[in-house]
Parts: sequence; C-alpha cells; structure tokens
Amino acid sequence: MNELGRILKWIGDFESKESRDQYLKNKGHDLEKLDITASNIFDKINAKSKLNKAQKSKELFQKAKDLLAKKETPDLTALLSSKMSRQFAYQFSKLEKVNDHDMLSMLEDEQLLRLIEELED
Amino acid sequence: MTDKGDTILDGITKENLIEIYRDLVAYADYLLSIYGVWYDTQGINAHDFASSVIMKVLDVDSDDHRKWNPSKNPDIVRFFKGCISSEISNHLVSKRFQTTADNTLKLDYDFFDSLGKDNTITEQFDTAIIQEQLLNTLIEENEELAEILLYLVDEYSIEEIAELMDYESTRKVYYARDKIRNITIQVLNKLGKEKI
Repeated sequence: MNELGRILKWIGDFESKESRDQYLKNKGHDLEKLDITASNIFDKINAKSKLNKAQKSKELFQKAKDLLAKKETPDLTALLSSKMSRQFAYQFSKLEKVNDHDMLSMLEDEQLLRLIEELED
Repeated sequence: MTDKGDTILDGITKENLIEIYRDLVAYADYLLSIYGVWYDTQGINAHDFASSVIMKVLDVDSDDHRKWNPSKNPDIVRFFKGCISSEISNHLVSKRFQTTADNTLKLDYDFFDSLGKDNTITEQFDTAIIQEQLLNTLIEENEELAEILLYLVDEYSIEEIAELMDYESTRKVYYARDKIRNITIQVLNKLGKEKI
C-alpha cells in the first residue's frame, strides 16, 4: 500500500465512540434516527428468524407425527425415554395421560430430530 | 425499551446492533467521502450500504447472505467493514473492472491498496499531489498535525508517535487523528469539486 492509501486507511478508524459520534454529527447524521433504523433492522431480522424457526419446528413436528402414524403400535413414551436425557425420560414416565400429539408438541427441535432419526431407522 | 432477551446470530443484541450500525454508517460515510474524489457516488448514502450489509450478514435466510466465520474473522465489526468496503468498491468501481477482474478479485478489491497502483484512479489525480496538498494544508493549520502525519508515513506506531511527540498518552495522537481526518476530507472535497 502506498503512503496516501496508508494515511487514508489510518484516519478511517475511530478510536472511541465519542470520536465516531462526533464525526457522524459533523457529517449531518441524526444519531437518534440511526438508532431507530438499527432497532428496526434488528426487529425485522429477529421476526424473520423466529418465523423461519417456527416454520421448521412445524415441519419437524408434522414429519414426526407422520412417521409415528406409520408405525403399527408405536409406544412413544418408551421411545422417548430411551432416546432422551434421564431427566426428560423421567418427566415423560409421569405423564401417563398425555396423548402422542401433546407429547410431541412438548419436544424441542433437537429432540424431534432425534426421534425422527429413530423412527426412520 | 430494548429486547434484552432477544439475540440474533451468535448473541448479537439490539444494543450491540445499534453500536455496530453507528460504526458502519461512520465508516461507509468516510469511504464515500474518499471515493467522491475519484468517482461519482451517484448520491448513494452511507445508511443504504450499512443497512444492506447488515441484512446480508445477519439474515441467514436471505438470498444474498454473506456468511460470517467467527473463527476466521473474530471481530464482526471488522468483517462488516470489509463487506462495506467491497460493496462500495463493487458499486462504484466494478464497471471499470468488469472486463478484467473476476468476481473473487472484485470482492477482494481494496481501494486503499489500489491507490498509486491503479491507472484508472491515478489518471485523474496523482496520489503524490494529493498527499502534498494534504501536508501543506496541515502545515498551515497546525504544524504538529503535519509532524504526526509524517511519522505515520514513516510507519511509526501510535505509541511511538506519542513518545516522539512527547505526549503523555496515545489519546492525544488519536485526538490528532480526528483533526487530520476532518482536514483530509476537506482537502479531498475541494479536489473533487475542482475535478467537476
């Protein structure tokens, strides 16, 4: 890099937030508006991410449900007890009156995935 | 007011993103000020670049998602700045390089690195002349700033410059940098106007 390039790169850094904010103000930027824009971007990405996650969870739930329906006499409690953590298995063993649908809806995505793998074997 | 419980991509909170956004708008604004000497920035503003890059990196489901690899680039702000630099270069400069550069080269294109090497840039303004004008302006304004700039050109570190200038701390060098930045932008803006 030549000298001018090095100078321009060096002065493009801001040592402190105060220095950066002063620069922004000098250049006519409204800090409050910038923060609102950033906040809106965050909300937009966050909402989209939650929506995608919910969509994926729904798909996993449906897939597990379909696979269970194909099994002749699926014992979901036994399956879950063998595949989940001890604590989780204990909780399920206490939930005798919970139907399969409700039991599936209590599972996290990771647990649903493990169950699907088990059912697909 | 903020959703402290919510995070996006590796734990970035709303507070983090607000700070990052200010960093990126400042950086994009600075880059556009520099580019303005050589290129018509077509009225594009720093907000557009900052918003666009954040969406591309943080929205992992977007079609033009840019993947951030924390093990390769631990500092996400530095990574964002690299993306902004390449976005602005691509937007303003790519037309000149379309026939000669492949996509990888475009993404890796470093504008600062190209100063003095690239004929398409230097044919408009000789970088040595710009540097000389900058130095002369600094001498007129404040000789101490010019002295700091010369130490920088000689590749002294911030700590070494503070010592050579007999400053108590490096903070004063950083403070001088803020002043040099303002003066540099003024000099470059003047050159840009002369070009028109």
